[in-house]
Formats: sequence, structure tokens, C-alpha cells
Amino acid sequence: MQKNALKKLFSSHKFDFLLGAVLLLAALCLFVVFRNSQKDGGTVEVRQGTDVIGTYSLSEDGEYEITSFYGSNTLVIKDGEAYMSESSCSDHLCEKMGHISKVGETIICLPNEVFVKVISGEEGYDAVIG
Amino acid sequence: MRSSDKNKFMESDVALYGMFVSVALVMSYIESLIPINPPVPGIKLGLANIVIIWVLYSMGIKPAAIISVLRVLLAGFLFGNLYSIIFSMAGAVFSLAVMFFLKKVRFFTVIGVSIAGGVAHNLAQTVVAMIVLENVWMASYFPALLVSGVVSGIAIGILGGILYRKIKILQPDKKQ
Repeated sequence: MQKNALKKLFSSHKFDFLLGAVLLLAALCLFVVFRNSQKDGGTVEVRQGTDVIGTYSLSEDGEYEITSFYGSNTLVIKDGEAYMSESSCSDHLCEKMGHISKVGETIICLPNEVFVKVISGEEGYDAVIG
Repeated sequence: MRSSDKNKFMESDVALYGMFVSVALVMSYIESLIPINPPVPGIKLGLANIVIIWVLYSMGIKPAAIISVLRVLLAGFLFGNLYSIIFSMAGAVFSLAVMFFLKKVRFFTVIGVSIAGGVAHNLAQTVVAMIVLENVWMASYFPALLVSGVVSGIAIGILGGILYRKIKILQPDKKQ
């Protein structure tokens, strides 16, 4: 009897399987679309709150300290990639967000309201010299 | 203790709602203890949704909405910050709405409803992230969140379904 109930349960789930399959397929399609639309960027833009506090070229290695009212973050640029090496915040999520180099990729430290975003190479190049 | 006034919020309701909010809060707490380091921000188990699904199926949309909102506020103040409250609230409200409609449609079982709920939660959070952070590229996280929503939705749906079938709770409708 329990076997029968199990069988019934299985056949009654066909719409669930369909929903899951459709969503997974959509995920795959979106992933491919996003992957192909990303280009290598040349510059990272650093925002704290709503202010842009600096743009740095990805072609120059360097270490930058981003201090704010909330705490401090250390942004490292190495081999054309940017990553957050240290953060004073509690969750340290931004350190785990990995290395970014493609246009539009971001590292976000919500507690400190620090946003690092890759933008395309040409714009902001002048600001690098500052 | 049980009055005949249908619209009155009864003492037994207070106890029942309180119990479910506590269970949902405990779920949120357990989830905050599990040390998973997702490669994509936003991936999580959604353990509290077990309780929400349980309530949605056994008591209806109104108690589920009340418990869900209370849980988000309390969990946000206890374990999170303002941002996590905004994100959780958007996710919770939208996913509950989607689950409610899919439940109405009757094509889906608890698992299908839960999958849709999980994905809706992630969709709402992605959209809110795009608005709050003013960054359209947050959408690039969505495919991974979609997969995580489906996987955790299946697990949560199975657990919520088991609770709904095995533990019969007081139905507010029957009191009237």
C-alpha cells in the first residue's frame, strides 16, 4: 500500500518536474547570454555610498585602501584583476566575491557601502593619474 | 475563550502565530549558523520557508503573510542589517505571492510551489539589488541563483510537505 502511494506521489509530480526543468533551462540560457555579453574591462570604479571616490587602471598593479565612515577595505589590483583582500566588516562577503576583470562585474561590501565595479578601459583613464 | 466573532483575532491565534514565528526565527538562526560560503551572494537554504509553506498549506495565505513579514523583521533586527531586511522583505513578499497563486492553480504539489517560491525569492532579491545598488549587472548573478532556487526549493518543498502531512495543527477556519 505504501508502494502504491509512493507511485501515486511520483506521477502527481509531473508539473513540478516540468517547472523545475523549465527554470533550469532558463538558467542555462541566461548564463550563456550573460557570459557572451561580458567584455574585458580596463578600469575599476570605486564608489563609497553614492560618491565615486576613485578609478584605478587594471593594468597597473597596486593596493588601495578605501576608508569610510563604516570602516576600511583594501582593494588589490594584480595581473589585470581586482579583488578585495581585506575588509573591516563583519561578514567578509566581499573578500569571497573573488577576482573581477570583466565589464560590469562588481565587488560589493554592503556593511561599509563600498562598491567596486569594472568599467570599460577608455573612460576614467585620465583619473588614474591622480 | 473562542468567541463567535469571526474577525476577532483570538488568544489561541496569538499563541499559534507566536509559535510559528518562533519556529521560523529558529530556522533563520540555524541558517545563519551553517557556514556555507556561496560563490554567488544570495545563495542560501531558505530554511524559514519550510515554516511558511507549512503555514500556507495548513492555515492559508493570511497567517502565512503575517508570520512571514514578522519573521523577516525580527530576523533582520537580530541577525542582519537594514539591507538584509530590504532584501529579505522583497523576496519573502514576492515569493509568498507566487506560491499563493501557484497553489491556487492546483497543477503543482507542495514541491512545485516551493520551487517557484524559492526562484521568486531570488528573482525579487536580484531586482531589488539592481535598484538599491543601481547596478544592472547584478542580473549576471541570476542564473546561479535560479539553479540554487530550484535545488533548495525541492528540498524545502519536501520538508514542508512532510510537516504539513504529519503534523496537524489547529485550523483557524474550524473554530468559527
